[in-house]
Amino acid sequence: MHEDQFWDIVGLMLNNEASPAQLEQLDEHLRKHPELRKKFLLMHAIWNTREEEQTDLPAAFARHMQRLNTHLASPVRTDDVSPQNSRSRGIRKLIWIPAAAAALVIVFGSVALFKSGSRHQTASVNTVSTKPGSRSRIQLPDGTTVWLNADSRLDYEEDPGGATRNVHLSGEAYFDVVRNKERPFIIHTAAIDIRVLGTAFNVRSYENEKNTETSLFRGSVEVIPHNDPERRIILKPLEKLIVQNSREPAGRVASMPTPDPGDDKPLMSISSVHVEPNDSTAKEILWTRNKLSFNSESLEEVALKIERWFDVKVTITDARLKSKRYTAVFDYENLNQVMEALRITGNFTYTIRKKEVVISP
Amino acid sequence: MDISSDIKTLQERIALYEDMNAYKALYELLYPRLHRFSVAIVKSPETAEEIVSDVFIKLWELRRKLGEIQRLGVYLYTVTKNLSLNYITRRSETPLANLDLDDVSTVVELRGPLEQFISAETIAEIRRAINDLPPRARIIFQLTREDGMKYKEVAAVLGISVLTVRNQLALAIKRLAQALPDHVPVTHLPHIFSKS
Repeated sequence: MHEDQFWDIVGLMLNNEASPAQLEQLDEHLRKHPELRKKFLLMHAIWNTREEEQTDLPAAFARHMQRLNTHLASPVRTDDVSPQNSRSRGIRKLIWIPAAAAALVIVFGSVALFKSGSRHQTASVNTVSTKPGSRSRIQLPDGTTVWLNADSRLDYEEDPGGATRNVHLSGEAYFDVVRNKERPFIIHTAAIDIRVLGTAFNVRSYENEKNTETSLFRGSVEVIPHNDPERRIILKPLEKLIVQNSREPAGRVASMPTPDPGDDKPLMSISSVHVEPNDSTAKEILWTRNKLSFNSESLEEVALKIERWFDVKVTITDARLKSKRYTAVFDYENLNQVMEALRITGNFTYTIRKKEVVISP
Repeated sequence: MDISSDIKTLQERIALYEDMNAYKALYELLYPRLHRFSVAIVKSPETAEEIVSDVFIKLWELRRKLGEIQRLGVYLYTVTKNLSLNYITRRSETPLANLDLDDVSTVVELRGPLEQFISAETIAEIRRAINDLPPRARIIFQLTREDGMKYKEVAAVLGISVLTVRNQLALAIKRLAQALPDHVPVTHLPHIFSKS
């Protein structure tokens, strides 16, 4: 074998691309030329030694996210880094996006249905569910988009032909419903039904929470409590309706009247959706932008949100800590950073071990 | 690339769920390689970081179509290459279509166990041998050794034939071998063979 051929095969071998025949040739050649063996071994060693990574990756990513957010926020996005002379087909596809985006979202929407969390089908009903710590975005057959928050479940009809479009929700979801006056969209939760014409709103109805909340952003919805269908409420944009999930004592929700012992009717109140002055995203739907937020919520409520968001278990050892209220917005921070920020304001201590957080005085 | 299946999993999560955690994981997985590659062309690590950031901005804008891209790793390398070349082009009069550059700065580090039995002199020799390689051979050496890319992938990213990649790598290895001393205490070598 010529020397050049030898190094060619060495190259293939180092890159794990040599065929068995080639490896045999290599072996044969090394046997015949023992003087090459040392250099060969050294080459092998040089090839396999790698430098350790020096970059602070989380910091670099944080800087990147700043740029991404700036880029997405600017009204006119000039793409002055796109190459003029590029012959790469990949770059051309980028410019081509806008026309086909709508169609593609539907394709991925239906693919998501087959792959996401858990899915089963009985007759014509599909289920999409999310685990704690993960969020999902789905497109329904009629074009309605649903963002499903962590630990939630949505059941919907695959081929809705009826007079109404129906879904069942347990958990939290943000809906952007496609307008159709002929076929009202109805969301069923444990405590209430929400009747929609074409609109964007957030529904929060977790089993282990005291209230079901509906926040309206665009359009109009009609909220019908199960226990009291006569007491329908129509929401206007930026109004929020809070309904108690069951007949628990009114306790600490100040805006709700104390019930009569014999009164079975659900307690409800209307308030406004909270809009941050510096950020046009309302607090209720910050989660759709991957921000974790607390809006004057008790530590107990905060703990529950953290459990869902990070998929951990939170225990508060001292009941006196539970009632203190917190307001905060977190942006891609991890569990440690969130707990540390809360600890400083809240004057408590905490430990994190694997997937368990313990909060103590 | 041995991380192809990791890339694929993250790619799916981004395309289907707009999963920010997957996006972050993909960034952290690929940043070191793409950055290294960009630095080879643009020289400045700060510029390279911005370029990789631009690549990931494009990736985010493309998120819904991401499922369509077959070899995302190769694709991202190619975008990095194009943006890097573009940066250079805008700073000079002559447009550059390929990597026929005068000056490609590659990072070839030889550390750890190697220092124990090869003298500093020899290491310097090896570095010199690599820097004396033609730019193309040098970049190919970096992409295969540092980033674990297959010949086919390197060929796709650089826009050259697989045969050229193979020849260039063989050349690089031969030149390197020639720079090595004839006397090396071989008994120490076997410990470094396992790539973890």
